[in-house]
Amino acid sequence: MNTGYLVMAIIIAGLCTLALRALPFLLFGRNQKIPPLVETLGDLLPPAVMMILLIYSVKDLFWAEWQLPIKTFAALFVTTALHVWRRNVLLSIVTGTVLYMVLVRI
Amino acid sequence: MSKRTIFQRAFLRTIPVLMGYLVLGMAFGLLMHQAGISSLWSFLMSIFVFAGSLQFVMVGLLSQQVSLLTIALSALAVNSRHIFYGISFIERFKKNKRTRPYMIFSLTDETYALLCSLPEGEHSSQEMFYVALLDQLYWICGTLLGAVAGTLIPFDFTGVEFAMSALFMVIVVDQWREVRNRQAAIIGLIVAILALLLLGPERFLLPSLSICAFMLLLLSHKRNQKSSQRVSL
Repeated sequence: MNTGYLVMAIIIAGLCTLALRALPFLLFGRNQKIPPLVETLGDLLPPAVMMILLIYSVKDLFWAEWQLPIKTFAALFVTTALHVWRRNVLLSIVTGTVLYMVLVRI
Repeated sequence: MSKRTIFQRAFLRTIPVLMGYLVLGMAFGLLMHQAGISSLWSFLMSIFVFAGSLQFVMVGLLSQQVSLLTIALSALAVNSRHIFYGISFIERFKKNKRTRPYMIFSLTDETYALLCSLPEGEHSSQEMFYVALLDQLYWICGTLLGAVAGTLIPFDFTGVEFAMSALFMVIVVDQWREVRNRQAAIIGLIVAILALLLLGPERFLLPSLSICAFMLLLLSHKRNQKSSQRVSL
């Protein structure tokens, strides 16, 4: 494959991605005061976006064979319960993942 | 607190991403290898693009040698959600004087999630930098492993990508503890599920984020009005 093409493709993909990530900083990042509306929005976005990302990470479940959603929900339930009980991020994630890896092989 | 202690803390926090990115990175490297594209390009993409979903899409695009315009449009479409991530960090990244450009460059879904869960504190800017850097290192290592040796590793990693969902779940639980976040979280959940059911898994992400952002804008406006009313009393 053409080297020049690959180089250009990577540069363009990289620049587009960077532009998207940098946009809020370009608009509001200088030493001007951030509009209070944007600031409050910035506080409210993370909890909402995390929910959306959570759904995004399991998005194909609705259309999968019934075993997979059950296994996924079981593992997520254990992760959640463990985390509510012990509050240890690593413990919750590793336990849930190991459980899921076992369930997926049954 | 020494830099080493901060680094160790950052490393512990990034272990879930370590698991996820090694596997996903290997999958990407493997796909590029199977598409006949040399490891060098996988490596460079993971350094300069550093965007998982886009990189996966690009395997197909590059194989078909699509136009550079198509690549640009695909990049803008696939990564459009990243516009929303910076909004929450405009203030916090100001403390990262020299590393700010890198912090902005490296805002992936997983790094964003981890950064959200970091408490603000005296050393948070240093810790945030280590988190972002480690995440990209894992991604690059995974890519190289997949591109160079993917077909050789005997361990069966099936299911390890669950670590990503588990990470998001844990963060959701921690955020739920803060009562004032719950309204926003519920809005996000409902919008996401409705959008997923109505638009399907391929198309629901950007609309979810946009609609959610719009609703949160209204909510922000209401909250700001309430607090300024209280002040003027």
